[in-house]
Amino acid sequence: MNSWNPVLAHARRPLILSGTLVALSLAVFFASSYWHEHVQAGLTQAQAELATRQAALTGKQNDLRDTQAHIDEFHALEQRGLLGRGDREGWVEQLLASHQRTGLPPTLTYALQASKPVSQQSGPTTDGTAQAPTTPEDPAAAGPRFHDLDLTLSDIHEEELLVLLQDYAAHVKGRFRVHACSLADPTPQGLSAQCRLRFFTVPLPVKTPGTT
Amino acid sequence: MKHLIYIGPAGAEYWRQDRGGWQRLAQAPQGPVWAVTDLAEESFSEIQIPRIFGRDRANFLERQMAARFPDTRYRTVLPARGANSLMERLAPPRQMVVAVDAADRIDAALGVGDAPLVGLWSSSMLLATLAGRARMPADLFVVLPGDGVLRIVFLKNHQPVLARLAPSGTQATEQAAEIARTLRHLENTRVVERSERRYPVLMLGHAPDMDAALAAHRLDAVASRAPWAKRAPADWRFPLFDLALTSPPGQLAPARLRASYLAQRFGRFAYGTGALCLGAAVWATSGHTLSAMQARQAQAQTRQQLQQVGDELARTEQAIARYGVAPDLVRQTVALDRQEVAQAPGLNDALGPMATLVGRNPGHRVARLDWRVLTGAEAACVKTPAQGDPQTADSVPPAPTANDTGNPAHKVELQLEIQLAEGTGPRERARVLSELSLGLSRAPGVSVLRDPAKVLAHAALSSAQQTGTAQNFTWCMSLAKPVTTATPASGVAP
Repeated sequence: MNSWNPVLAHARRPLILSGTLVALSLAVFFASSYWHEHVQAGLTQAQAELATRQAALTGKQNDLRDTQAHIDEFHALEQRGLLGRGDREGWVEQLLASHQRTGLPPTLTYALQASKPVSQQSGPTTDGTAQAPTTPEDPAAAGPRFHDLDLTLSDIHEEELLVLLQDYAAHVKGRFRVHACSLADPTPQGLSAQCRLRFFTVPLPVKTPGTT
Repeated sequence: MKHLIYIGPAGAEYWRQDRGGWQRLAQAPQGPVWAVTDLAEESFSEIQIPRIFGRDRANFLERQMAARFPDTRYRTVLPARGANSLMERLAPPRQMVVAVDAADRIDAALGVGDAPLVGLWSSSMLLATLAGRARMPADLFVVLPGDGVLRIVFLKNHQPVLARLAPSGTQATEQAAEIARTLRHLENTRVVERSERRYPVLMLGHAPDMDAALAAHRLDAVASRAPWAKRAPADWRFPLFDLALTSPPGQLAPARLRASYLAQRFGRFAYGTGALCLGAAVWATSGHTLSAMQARQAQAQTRQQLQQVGDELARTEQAIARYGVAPDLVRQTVALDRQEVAQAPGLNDALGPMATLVGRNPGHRVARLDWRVLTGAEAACVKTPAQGDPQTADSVPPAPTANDTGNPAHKVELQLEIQLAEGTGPRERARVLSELSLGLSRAPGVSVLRDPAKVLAHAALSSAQQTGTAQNFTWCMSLAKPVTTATPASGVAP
């Protein structure tokens, strides 16, 4: 290498200049590469943000479409008493009123059970009576709930039972279905009827202070 | 234009090559210059080398050259030729060294002017290279007559082994005799075997009748196919000069003397490399720049779309807010009513057909009717049969039939107990049961899962069943009401 030192000494300026060019080239390349990646990252981020917002818009448009399509039905159900905690006292009062209107024998007994979440629905016991009460649920808990109204009548015919139920459904402020009915013990005066009416309610959302 | 310094016995001459050929110059040139020596001190020497490699080999050669030519730095090792194996190619056992042992005169000639030195070659080496390029015989004399001198180079196996600059006249006989004398020297020094062999001689310019003169000394003149063999140049040194300009092997000047020229070449290479790198960087950068500008443009468009979507989102939220109720509440409420209330079968759906069916057979009455809505995955008619009901004690509810359709939450389990009139005979009993079973199975949405008519067909018949006691038979059925509309929870409007 000693014999080449004079050569390198003579070539000092070209070496320095070419080294500078190479370094400059590398700097330019890496700087442009970094800038390119930075801009690409920004674009990717913007596109991701756009996709997210478009998904949110699609969701909101679906919400609006559903609301527009079902708002009338919703208001009708609201009028029918499906929303809120349910007029439990009114249900019982209306049962007595329907019983009186239909002129049935004074053999009516009733029991309105505590409400439960709809997710806990199951069939009645074998004798058609209500199940044993469980741990009381918090009525303010979110989610739809059902309320079982058990009634018994004796010395009643099938048609009379149907008339009572139709009158009750027409006048009560609530939505229910006949969940179970048992007609037995036929006598010349009629049958014994044990029925369970299941009311449903949708609690209104709890508004937190400060929200509209 | 290229320049050359000719260092001969009379001193240095400066030559320039242009389109017209070689022109002599009066003073030292300025540009890069090639140098050619034509001195008596030119010589070849063979070095035997052990099988060593790399730096060891280089150091050994340097020491050998320093030992043989201690007074000159104008020496170099020639590339080996004629390797028979890979090992000989990698580490030749013998190599020739060429040197000019006239350092002072060369230094003096090269010291004039500041022209960068490209390299230094000896005439002997150039003659040997000429002979090698001309596809000459392996053992060959190459002779260049000069001004009162005769340069003779002997090649053995294409390798130069001897060079001498001998005084000689211009007569063919004198020149032939000098060549023969050189042959005798080679025979005496056992470089060649003494024999009757006739050696070829390549003459670059010769006196008339040279062939005959050579033949007298058992020497044969050979012709070359080189261009200068067809038409003699004005000066027989010109072919050597032309060869020197190609920078052939055998360059003698140390790197220190060639530093300026080598630095220029290296500088051009460095500049070229730098320019190449810069060009590549610019090319790559242009690609990055173009892509980045496109990305920025796309980003701007995306931001614009983002703004539009945001505005649309705000308008949609305002439209929803005007209804004053959360969409989830609307969906939940409507879905709950449809699934649990509207879609559920009604009690009158069962009582009506039952009453009509039983009414066709007066005297028979409904003893019991149990109607209940099945929820979740509850199956119909899976309870154990009632005590004292022998007709149904052994029956097993079959699997749901093809009539079982719809959401299980909308199914109803219906158990119907019929009390036949007293005194009903077996045949009448069978007829009534069959009629009732047939009527029940034909009712819309009904699947009879427990049929006493089928059980009775294989049961025992006894008098105890016939008279005195009422006969009760129980059917168990499932009643389904098909779902007709989609619920809002799926997001699809009805």
